[in-house]
Amino acid sequence: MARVRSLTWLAVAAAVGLPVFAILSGGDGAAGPTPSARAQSAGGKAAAGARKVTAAEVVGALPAGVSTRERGDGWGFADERGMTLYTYDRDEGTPGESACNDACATAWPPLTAPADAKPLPDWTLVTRKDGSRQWAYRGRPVYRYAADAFPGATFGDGVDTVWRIAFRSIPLPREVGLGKTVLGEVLTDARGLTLYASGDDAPGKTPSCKGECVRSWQPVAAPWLAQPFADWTPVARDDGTRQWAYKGRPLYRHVVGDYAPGEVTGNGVDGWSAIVLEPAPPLPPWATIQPSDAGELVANEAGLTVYAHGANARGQRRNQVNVKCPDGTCIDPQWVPFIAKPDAKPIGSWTLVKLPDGRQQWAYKGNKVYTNSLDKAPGEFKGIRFGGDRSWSAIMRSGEPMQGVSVGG
Amino acid sequence: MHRIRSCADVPARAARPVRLRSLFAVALLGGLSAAPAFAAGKTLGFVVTTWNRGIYESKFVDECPEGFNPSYDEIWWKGLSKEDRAKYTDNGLRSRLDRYFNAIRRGPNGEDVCMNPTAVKDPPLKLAEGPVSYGMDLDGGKDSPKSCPHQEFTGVDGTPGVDNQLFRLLGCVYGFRSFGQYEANENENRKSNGKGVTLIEVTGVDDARNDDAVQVSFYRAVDQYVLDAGGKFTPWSSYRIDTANGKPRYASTVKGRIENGVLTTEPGDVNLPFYGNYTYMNQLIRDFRLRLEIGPDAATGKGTAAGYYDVDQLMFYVGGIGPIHSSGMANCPAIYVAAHELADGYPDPKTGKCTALSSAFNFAVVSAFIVHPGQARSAGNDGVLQRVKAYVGQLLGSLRPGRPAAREALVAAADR
Repeated sequence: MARVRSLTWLAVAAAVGLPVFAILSGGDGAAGPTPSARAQSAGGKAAAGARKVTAAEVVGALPAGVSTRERGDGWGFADERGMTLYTYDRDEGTPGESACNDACATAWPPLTAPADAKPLPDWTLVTRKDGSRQWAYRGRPVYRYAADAFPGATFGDGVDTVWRIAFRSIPLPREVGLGKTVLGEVLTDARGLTLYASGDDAPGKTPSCKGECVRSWQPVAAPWLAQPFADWTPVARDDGTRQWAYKGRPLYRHVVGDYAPGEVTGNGVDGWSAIVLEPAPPLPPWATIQPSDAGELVANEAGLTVYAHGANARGQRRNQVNVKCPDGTCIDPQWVPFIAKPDAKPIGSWTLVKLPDGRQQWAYKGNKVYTNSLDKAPGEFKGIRFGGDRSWSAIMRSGEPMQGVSVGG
Repeated sequence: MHRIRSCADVPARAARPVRLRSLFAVALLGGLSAAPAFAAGKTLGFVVTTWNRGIYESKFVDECPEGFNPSYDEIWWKGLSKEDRAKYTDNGLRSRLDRYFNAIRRGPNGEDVCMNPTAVKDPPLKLAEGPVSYGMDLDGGKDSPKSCPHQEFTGVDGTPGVDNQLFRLLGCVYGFRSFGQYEANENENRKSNGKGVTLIEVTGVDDARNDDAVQVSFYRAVDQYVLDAGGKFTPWSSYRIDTANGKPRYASTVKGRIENGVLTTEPGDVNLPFYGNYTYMNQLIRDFRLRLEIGPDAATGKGTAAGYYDVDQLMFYVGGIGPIHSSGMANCPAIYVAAHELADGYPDPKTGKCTALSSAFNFAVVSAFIVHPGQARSAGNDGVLQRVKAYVGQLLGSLRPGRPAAREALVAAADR
């Protein structure tokens, strides 16, 4: 009986045009389908004509100088120089003010507002301890990260597990997610398996993969009540089922090759390609990729794993390194600075830090890079131990933190 | 390659009920196909589900006459002055101490005594005493260039001359016993995230019950365990080998034989994957040998393995799992000293001191399809069809006189 009742409610909801998609999608609900998008029915055989939603529609008015940067699931914010803006989880405990002052504010400069700034619907103003005013997005003060080396850099994302890119998300279909692979950030299914599109498919046409094809490429099913929204369209297949399409391209899993998140065995096969939202950042010319028990690691030319110090990519708070060295600046002799050649050039997330003796040390996302003398062979990462200093992290090719080296990780 | 059709292969469409007639036909076909004698050069596959150190536990803990060892934080607390105790408890106001972060860094210069086990000198470790232990006779009961003097045990089955210094070392450390923290965590870690899972492949099998020459290979799985809704390991599931550049990353092979359904191997050096307590490592075990009893249903099995375990590897692990010791009650410096004293295998050519501990491991397996590079893997629940085939084969085998034993039918069904 309960099932009948819930179905009845859904039918009524669909009939009156309620934003069923937002309910089904499991998104944050903050950016449900626009009225115009909702008005479009998905009852047609082919794509139902999803309309591209612009940043201006969803994000609304921005403070002077603040801009947006599109990603598959929303928009990030940047300052007037294009430097990424961040929020700080610990500000949740201090509503209306900032918990990041003094040394913290040096590393994370606040986005200050001029004296005559006026609050906007989503952007408000908080008064800092020093009396200055700071912009806050949806109540959360926003900051830059001093170590971000260039416009668009996101070195601060995830630092100490409390800093995040200031972001306006839009809901994804429940059947879809995001994941990191060697190709970069990709669309995935709900289990994390990479999603693909066929070169034979075209927007507005019935999906071309059928018969034997679907034995290898499984369509991502869309619920019958799902509505087109933003870049997402449920399209009708020949067999009467419905399938999600992203930017008009029907989505599939590669079920004879990908069995775990991160795998991209279907990319480049017979005109199939993974849906890459953000390409993987480039690597320096010396970098090699080494397989390991934890996945593919970035290594030096000799194949030895390189580590970043201070990145805290392991998903837990930093250990106190040593009682005599509580600020974490002590480096055990097992860590060997990775010195750059004199003619080295920064690339992507890899920058150069000048040392007092004039040499340059490689840095990854602003954190100095080392090798570890315990590592003797490619693929070893003996510098990472569960009980060890968690301000060290090996650098995974995917850009993801290493999995399995912290509780729950 | 024989390819098993799986749920993932089925085109997306509305589910339809399975017809009993079809199921019976498939099952009958499977049962019949399993009937012929086992063809030459076939393959058996297993995935290791639990892997525990061979710690023999008597009913009344007779192996630990002096009791269990104190934990590192107990030693820390005993060594504190009254003033220090007042400091750590805020003059008695704090009842809950941050034991790990304070106790582990009790070196004279604040060193982490698990990472630097020689930084302090602690009371000696209480060792396990005989006479019984799991394990095997690794040195033939006599001194050899590969061994150092040590006491031997009697095996649980009465075998004399059993070598298991790892048990002597860790048998009275509570966390390493069966209800302790370490092994429960290791097995649970592997079960939950599928890292460090070992595959065992037996090739060249002419007769699944008696074959005097087979090859036994060990690989690392890249896939997680296939579990049923109750969290139990599902036999007859597929596991891909962890590979790099088209070759297995872990691949050790030793010679073996099967006698009355029990697989044993000749000694050989193997490199096995390991993951536990949030720590990745490999286990290089020298003079490794294995005894695996395949269960009557051919879907499960249990065994014992033995060999020489490198002391440095052990200390890398014990020293590296730091916070786990909070509940495991181990003390790294004492284990470090005792491990070097007890080492009984592979003397260092320069110092003459042994570098490895004789050791034993108890393990369990379920049958598995092992997928080599270049082969396609069927979906995780491909085992359903195989189990239907196997059970019907077993049924037919029991009904028809002169049929091969059900066990062979089941093993044959596993063959691909």
